[in-house]
Amino acid sequence: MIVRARIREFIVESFFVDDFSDDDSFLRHSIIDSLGMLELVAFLEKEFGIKVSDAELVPENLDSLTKVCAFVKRKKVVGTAA
Amino acid sequence: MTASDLMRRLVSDLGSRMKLRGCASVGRSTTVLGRIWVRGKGQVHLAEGVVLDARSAPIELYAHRGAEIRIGVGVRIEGGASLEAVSQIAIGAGAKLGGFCKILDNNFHLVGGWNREQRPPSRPVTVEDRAEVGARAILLPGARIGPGAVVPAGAVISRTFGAKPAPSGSAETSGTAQTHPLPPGGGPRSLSLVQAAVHILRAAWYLRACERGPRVRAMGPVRVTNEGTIRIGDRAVFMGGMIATTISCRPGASIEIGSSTIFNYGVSLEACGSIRIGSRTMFGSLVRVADRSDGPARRIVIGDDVWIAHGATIAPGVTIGSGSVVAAGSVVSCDVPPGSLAIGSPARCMRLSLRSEQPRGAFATPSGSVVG
Repeated sequence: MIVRARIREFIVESFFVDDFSDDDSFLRHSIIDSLGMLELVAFLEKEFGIKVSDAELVPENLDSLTKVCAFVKRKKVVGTAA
Repeated sequence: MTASDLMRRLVSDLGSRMKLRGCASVGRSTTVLGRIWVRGKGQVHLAEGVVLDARSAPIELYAHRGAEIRIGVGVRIEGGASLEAVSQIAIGAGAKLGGFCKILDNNFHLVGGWNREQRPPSRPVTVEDRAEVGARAILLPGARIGPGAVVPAGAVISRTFGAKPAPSGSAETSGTAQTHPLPPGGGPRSLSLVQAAVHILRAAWYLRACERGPRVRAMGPVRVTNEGTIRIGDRAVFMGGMIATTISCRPGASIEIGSSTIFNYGVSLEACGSIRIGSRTMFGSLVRVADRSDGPARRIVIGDDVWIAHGATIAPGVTIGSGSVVAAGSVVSCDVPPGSLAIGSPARCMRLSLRSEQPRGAFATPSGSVVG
């Protein structure tokens, strides 16, 4: 829950949007554009200490709050296992 | 004030008004230094005390048909700045726009798909009172710079920056997307036969040092220094603008440009080794491609159907795959896989599917580096 709340807080503060659900598509609902995606990825890397490769910059990982949270958790598990 | 001072001021005012005769309205005490391009069939409004200092490079104010550019009281704009509106650009009182900054409310081409001649919806851009936009900064569709905010030099912005936006419906920029289809035939193809002939003759003159295919056109000046081999494919187009495109090919080097490739104004191609550009590729204004910086020259390959947006830089040794898009202001120093969006400085590559669709007034922005 902390991860989800922290990412939501970043999106609300950075992109001035607060009316979106956890499963809303960032791109289809115009919450974040391509440039915003770069900002979001930079935030994830810094905040959660993960490294996101270019191959991972795909909608399946980043296009909703739920998907981003799941992606961060997967990366943290992989990082811990390594 | 002496009579001579008065006369000098009158002459200066008259000169400024002559340069701004393409504007719909011009306030008192507006000063123009250098060369101004007021273009398009839309409306440009300048309030009182605006200073356009174009001594270092021309300033462009381009309002397309039905569009509006509003410059507030006491705004100062430096040389090389370019404002291009398809719907609306508003600059608040006391704002400052740095040299070679670019403000546009439409991306003019769709990011996705292979037909990039279709124009996407516009989103108004607003720079509020006393805000400062740094040199070479790029404000993309939907950008809104808050009162007194300072945009760093070279930053690329496509969202609200510096302040929370006003409630929906109360702000002048809250307008929904407007579609602006290209005129029938689209872009450079909708020219008359006479204009096309002039452009072909102009290309024959400017590009006389190059091997050219048929129907290569130049709508503005192109400066060529060819000590190697330059081949330009058929139907390539060099568009006109504030700054000439330059092509420089050193001894033993080669530049190959594919057919139907389009260059906007101010593009710089510099080869010490080899630069190869595919067919139907589009270069935005002020794009720079050079295959050598400090060390030896390293070959640059740009595929077919690539779109390189305004102000991007392609570094030595880079290969850009077919169908990719390089976002405005990006610096590309690593290879870009086919069908990717390269964005940022240094650029990162994301799949083209990771971009905005076009519902409710938003669309994919070929945006660039992370806001400073």
